[in-house]
Amino acid sequence: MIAPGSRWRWLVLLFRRRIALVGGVLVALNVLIALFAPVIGRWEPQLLDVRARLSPPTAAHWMGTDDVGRDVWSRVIYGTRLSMLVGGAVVALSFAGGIVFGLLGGYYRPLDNVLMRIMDGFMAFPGIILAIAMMASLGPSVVNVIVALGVVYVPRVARIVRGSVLVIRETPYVEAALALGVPDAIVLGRHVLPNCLSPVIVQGTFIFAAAVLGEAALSFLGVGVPPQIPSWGNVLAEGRLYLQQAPWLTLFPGAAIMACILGLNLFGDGLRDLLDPKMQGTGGPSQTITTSARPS
Amino acid sequence: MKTYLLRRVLAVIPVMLVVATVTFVLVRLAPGDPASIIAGPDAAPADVARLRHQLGLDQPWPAQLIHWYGRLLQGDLGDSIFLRRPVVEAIVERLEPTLLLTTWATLIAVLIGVPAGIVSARYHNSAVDQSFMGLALVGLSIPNFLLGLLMILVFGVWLRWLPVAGYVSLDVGLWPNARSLLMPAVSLGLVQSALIARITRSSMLDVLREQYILASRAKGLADGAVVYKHALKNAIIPTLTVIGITFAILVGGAVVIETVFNIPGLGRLIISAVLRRDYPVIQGVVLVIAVTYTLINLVVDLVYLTLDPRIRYQ
Repeated sequence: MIAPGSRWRWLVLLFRRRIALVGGVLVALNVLIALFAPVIGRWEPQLLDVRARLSPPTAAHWMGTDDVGRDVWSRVIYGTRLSMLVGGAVVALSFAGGIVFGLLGGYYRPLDNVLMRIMDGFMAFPGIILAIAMMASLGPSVVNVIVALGVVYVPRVARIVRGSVLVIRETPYVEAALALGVPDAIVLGRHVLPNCLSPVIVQGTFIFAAAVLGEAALSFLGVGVPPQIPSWGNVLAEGRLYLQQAPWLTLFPGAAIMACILGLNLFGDGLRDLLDPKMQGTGGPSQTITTSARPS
Repeated sequence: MKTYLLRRVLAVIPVMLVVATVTFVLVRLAPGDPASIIAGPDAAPADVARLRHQLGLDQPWPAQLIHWYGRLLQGDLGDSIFLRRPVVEAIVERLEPTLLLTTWATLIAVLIGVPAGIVSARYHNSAVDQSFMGLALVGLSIPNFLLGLLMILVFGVWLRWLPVAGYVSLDVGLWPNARSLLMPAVSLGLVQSALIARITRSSMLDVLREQYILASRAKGLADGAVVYKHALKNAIIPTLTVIGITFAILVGGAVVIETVFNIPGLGRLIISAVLRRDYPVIQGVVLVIAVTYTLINLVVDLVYLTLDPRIRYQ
């Protein structure tokens, strides 16, 4: 997608926009916190300091403690790690499934109808509801949260990829490759796929954000990650019970979620404006393909 | 026009079929045998076997699937394991709070989002536009349940203006009911208004660049008349689709918000069903929501037809 020799030029172009830069910094900060959680965390997230139950923020516990005396700072930091893990894995899973279905549907006409009807059927469920129902059957665990949210976003990726493939398969270079007798698999992988990636990548940042929100919501409801694992949603769920006595249980993880999602949204908006200037400021998924903004 | 209408209505059928199949498969994903879950941990093996036969679980799964379709066509969603009553009854009972909550939230989202979008487009790149869009971006970054918790903290705990949680039925009166739904509806709707504002703004901007807008300005129409009479009518169409999508997001959001505010709606029903492994209820609620969403999108598309004559002749 990005021509060799100018590998990093798109980053320069992207970060010339101030909002994208702010978003990029916020996202990078989250990734760094996730990577170095054991160093930054200061406390074990599971450690019970019973004498300091529901302690307000102090020098020892920067964000206070929860009802069993666990350090909120540490739980928020490790929650970042979990959110980044879930976000990344959900994007990977939904891309893997969505790209395969999208390529097959867009390229093989007879398959298209069946595949897209199935995707439509899945999209008839509000995402969080489908995820809740899957969690009911799969049981609470980190992997199951990833699977449930991944399945939710497969159809969304598939639709975008399919839309791009429908246009790209009619281009002369695909026709030429086919005329030369290049096998379908290679045409799809080498010629079609790389050219339909840019709208999908933009969508990836929004799926990442939605997955972080989804995990927080599922865990908040008690049907996501098991309660002992530090997650923003889990801390918020405990915080809800002590809203009056211990608002720090709600305010700090809340701020962490907002900073993370805001960063992803800003970054995604910047990326979309760069890859697809026509969609500027709509906030919706981009369905069109442009080549104009591709650095060469 | 007639063929379009027919095609659009018929397109609902495969979607419904997939929805019904997915809800069937969802429950079968669970480890363990539904019959032993329903019978409970202390049931004798003979009782479990009898129940399995009663529920048709001893038949091959294609037969079970056909049976499931047949029951759905009759509006039979089975019985709740925990509540020991038909799922349909349980759902109908919980419908009121969820419906009112999503309606209020949609209203709030539209009443804030559409005007904000129009003003932003009209004063494109001005300070007003930039601060609205900045706010919208922040709005899109707040999870609705977090906004709910923050509102409880500020208006319920600190200022004590509104009840912290709970639901007052419509039977008690419109005002107490609306008061109990105010915070939940705002926390749901405000976030959604951000999305609506962004879509309205961008479609308004597109329309304002059209030739006929230039023409109406050239013939000396007042700016207000151009924006509100000529541009808005066309610009509102993408917003309408978003309102259709908004409903799905709001129903999903309502599930979470009902937990925040302790509102006995569909959301509480499905969450407590998940915690009790009451599969027929989970299945029923998910199905009802998906079917409603599909039908709302159908209605939105049909409203399109009356609003935009260009679509009719495609």
